[in-house]
Amino acid sequence: MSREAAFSALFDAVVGAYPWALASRRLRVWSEVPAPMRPALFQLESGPEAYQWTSLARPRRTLEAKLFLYFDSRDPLTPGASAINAALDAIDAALTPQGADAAAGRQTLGGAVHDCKIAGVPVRDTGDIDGDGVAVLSVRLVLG
Amino acid sequence: MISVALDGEEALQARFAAFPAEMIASLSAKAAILAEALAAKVKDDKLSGGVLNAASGALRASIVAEAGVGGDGVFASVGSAGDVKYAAIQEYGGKTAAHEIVAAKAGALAFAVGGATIFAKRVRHPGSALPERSYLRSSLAEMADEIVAALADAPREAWERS
Repeated sequence: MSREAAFSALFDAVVGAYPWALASRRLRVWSEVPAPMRPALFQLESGPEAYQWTSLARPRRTLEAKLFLYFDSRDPLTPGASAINAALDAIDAALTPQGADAAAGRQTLGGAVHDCKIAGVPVRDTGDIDGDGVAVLSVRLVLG
Repeated sequence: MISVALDGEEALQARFAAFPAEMIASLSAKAAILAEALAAKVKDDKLSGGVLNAASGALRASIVAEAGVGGDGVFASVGSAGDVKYAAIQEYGGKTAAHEIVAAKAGALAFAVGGATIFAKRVRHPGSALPERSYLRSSLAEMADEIVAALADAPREAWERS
């Protein structure tokens, strides 16, 4: 299991989960993403990395990716939270284990990782007051 | 006496009263994003060959971003956390103190001087002068305009929309 395969698989899963206008594995700040390019997804892959030696021969590596989601929340008639909720629900669904993964209780992203789970507390701002809805999710990837 | 009544005054006052709390919540989320972007620059640029090459990766792994609400405002910080002893001296430069190196894992230290191999139980290291290799402040300086612009946009847009 390689880091690149793991991050690529996560990115592919999240990109396919929601109709993003822009998706990239290079982080941009929301102010550099104009409204027509939103909803936008950026995957940051410079999070902490840990080794755990469960056997002498092979480490279990834990990586972290952060997903930055930007939304155009300028429509005063629509709650800014609506788009964020829909995108987060879509990502939740995309990362829910199916089939053999469900039986094992793990999300392997098609075999690219041992497990993949959303971790921690999402950061979110509905954008109701400034028109820039944002959310940040942490995803923990375990490589066997 | 002339008095003026303003329709919607209560609603307007309520809007203004709620404004700072909403704004702080909004800025807090956005400060977290900026802090992560700054930390990514430190790790993926400055500490990945930009200023320093990663030898063990310990300094790069120690870089953490934090943001939140404290006191009357929002804070964001990026720094080296943990016990990376050379984090500060690489950032600011300086001279390490003279110190003794004592053989601990082997019976003696061995090193080459003028083609001869020298063995010693202990040697006195005079200290090293390290140049400044700023990875934190230089990153902040390079992103300062972007950070200020992004954070200034939020209150301006909020005020225009309120």
